[in-house]
Amino acid sequence: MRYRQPEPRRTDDGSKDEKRFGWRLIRVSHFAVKVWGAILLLLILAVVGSILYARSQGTESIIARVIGLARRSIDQRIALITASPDEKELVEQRFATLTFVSGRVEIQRATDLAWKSGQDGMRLASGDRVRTFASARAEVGFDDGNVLRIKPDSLIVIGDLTENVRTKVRKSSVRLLVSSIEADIKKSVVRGSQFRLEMPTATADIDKARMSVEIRPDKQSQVSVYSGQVALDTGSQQVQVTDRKTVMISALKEITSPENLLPAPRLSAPKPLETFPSATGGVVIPCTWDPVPGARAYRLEISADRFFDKPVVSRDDLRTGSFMTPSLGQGVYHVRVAAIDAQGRTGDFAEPVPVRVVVDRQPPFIEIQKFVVLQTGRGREVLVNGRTEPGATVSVGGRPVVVDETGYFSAVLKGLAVGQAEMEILARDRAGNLKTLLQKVQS
Amino acid sequence: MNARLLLGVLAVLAAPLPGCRREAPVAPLEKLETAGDGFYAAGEYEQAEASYRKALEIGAQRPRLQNNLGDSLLRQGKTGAAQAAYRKALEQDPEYLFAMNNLVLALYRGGERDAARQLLAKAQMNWPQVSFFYSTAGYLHYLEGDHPAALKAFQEAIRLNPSSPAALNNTGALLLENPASDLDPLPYLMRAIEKDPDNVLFRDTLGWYYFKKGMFAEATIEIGKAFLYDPKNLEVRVHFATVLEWIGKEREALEQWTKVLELADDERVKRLAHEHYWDLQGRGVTAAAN
Repeated sequence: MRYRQPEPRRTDDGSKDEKRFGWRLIRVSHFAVKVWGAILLLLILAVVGSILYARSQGTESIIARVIGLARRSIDQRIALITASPDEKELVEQRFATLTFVSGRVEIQRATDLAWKSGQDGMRLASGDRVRTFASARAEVGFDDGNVLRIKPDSLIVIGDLTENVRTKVRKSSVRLLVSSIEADIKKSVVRGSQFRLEMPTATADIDKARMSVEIRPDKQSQVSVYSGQVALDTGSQQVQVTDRKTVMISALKEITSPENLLPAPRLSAPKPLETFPSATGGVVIPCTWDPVPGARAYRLEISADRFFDKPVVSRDDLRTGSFMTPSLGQGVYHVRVAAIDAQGRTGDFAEPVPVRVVVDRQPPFIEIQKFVVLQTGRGREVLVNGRTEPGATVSVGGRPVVVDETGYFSAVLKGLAVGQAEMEILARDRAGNLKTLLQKVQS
Repeated sequence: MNARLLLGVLAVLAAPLPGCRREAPVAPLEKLETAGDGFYAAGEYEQAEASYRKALEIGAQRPRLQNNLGDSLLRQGKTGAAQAAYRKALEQDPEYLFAMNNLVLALYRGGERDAARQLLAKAQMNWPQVSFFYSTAGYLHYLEGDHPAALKAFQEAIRLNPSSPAALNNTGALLLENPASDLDPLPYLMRAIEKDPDNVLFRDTLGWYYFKKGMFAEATIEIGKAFLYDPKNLEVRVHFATVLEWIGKEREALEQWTKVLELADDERVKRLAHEHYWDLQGRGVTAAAN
């Protein structure tokens, strides 16, 4: 860092500033010394207590925060002084957004010491802090599609959020204090853009990755990369962590050898955006997925919200590649599944599949357009065609007939029993509702 | 999706024209030119053509006027006349790159694909740093079904100009249609919206991405905005109806599907609307009273 040297201030007579200062006798009472001494002692105790308490909680003390603010302010001033006019114009500040909040989530602005309740849609700027309390979750969305999901009992600081006006290169960084997060970092549009996670003992530069980071109170960090690539740097050690690998970083900045994580199972059912009609108000959804070699069990979650904040189904004891859900009521659901390895580690979740359950208590309509009974040499035959609800099945006289995608059906039925006076036409929609119609068969 | 990619072309056609020659202002000429631009922006291409022609009759040698006349003609499907106008613009200014790009499109639409390709290759060779030539190349690759080549060309356009909304949107749309393992459409779509927030098709593409990902609240916002901006756009209406169904607004969705059935010419769209219409009717959903 370059500092600008201050110029000596000169007076008219050419004398230096120090010549204007001299010794002077000041009298202070004994009582005042005692009072000020006590105040000073209390202040020292408060500072030490705050630091010790914060350390025991694994968070940052107010004092450290004040010092941090002051240091950042000084750094900014130094940067303003030392940067060339061109550089200052080149960088533009960006914003992130709090896209989801559940439970007690608080925000502390970079310019404010007070913590305020976090709300959906709140804008976050460089230096802002987000903390989640027990059972709380938050999601931070960045303007380039990157997402950070913050789990309970976490504290993060939004770092750099800049864009170079000329090259459009974006730099984003997030500082993780004691926290547990998941990150979905997408490959940037502009080469040279960077997303960095700063942990207490290492930095992680991410080009494109789906990953999770857990920073424990003892400053050990676990970094799991489900897909993509992450460059870890502790200052003394650099390691590339790639697809389906997990490492631990110790408080002494040592990175363990990468261990394997299981891949995400592929959900073959339900299909994305599939609709399940129900005549009763609830429906059982069959879920199947391809088995993952090495999986001890599978974790399946179904939630009404895409953040899986409050899953309606959460099972981690599934041994096979299929599961029948309990009856699910009307609404939209998101289904996801992951494999669990022998050490009990959960691998990557498959891309969540959105599905919906709709209530359909209305029987399908049957519209007969033609119903003709013919007397032929081989006996009586019926020519029938008509329309029903698309997706319904139709049977005529107990025999299934083909229904096209628009609901149109047509059939010729032969060999009617002698004396048969009526024929039943039955339609069943996808929800299971039935509609029957009786047609007279007198030629 | 084709319509969305077409936007790459439209963006170029409708773009302001930096670097064009400015001559001493002539009041009636300026008025006619402004009127033509206004008609063009309002989609009244015949009137725009008339204004530009009148302006040219006054006698000014303005490549910009010729280019704009070509745009009005191309919009009306008069590819031959459009080509002639672009050629005149290039005669007046051989380095008028917008006119050159537009001539490529006019040639391609007029069935002269080889000539279009040759002209584009020449332009790319002479001006390798001009991003919109790569956008156009990507669009032509897309039309020919060569999606990998289209993606490569769009990405090159973005490399040269990271603020090109059309190239950004087209890359996103292409990735949405043909998922690639290492690229996600979202960063491209978000950047495109940043550069052109009022663009209906960009909003719709982003909304459709959200819908496919099960992000229904976000999808409703984006597609809802696109629908408000341009209710005449049938593709946007189809997406809007679909999203309404998924967020439980079934009566409103039925109204939209009914409207799609009324307006659609395309058999594929009609079949889709029919399917949804009967599905909703079959569940006892009735349209909201007006």
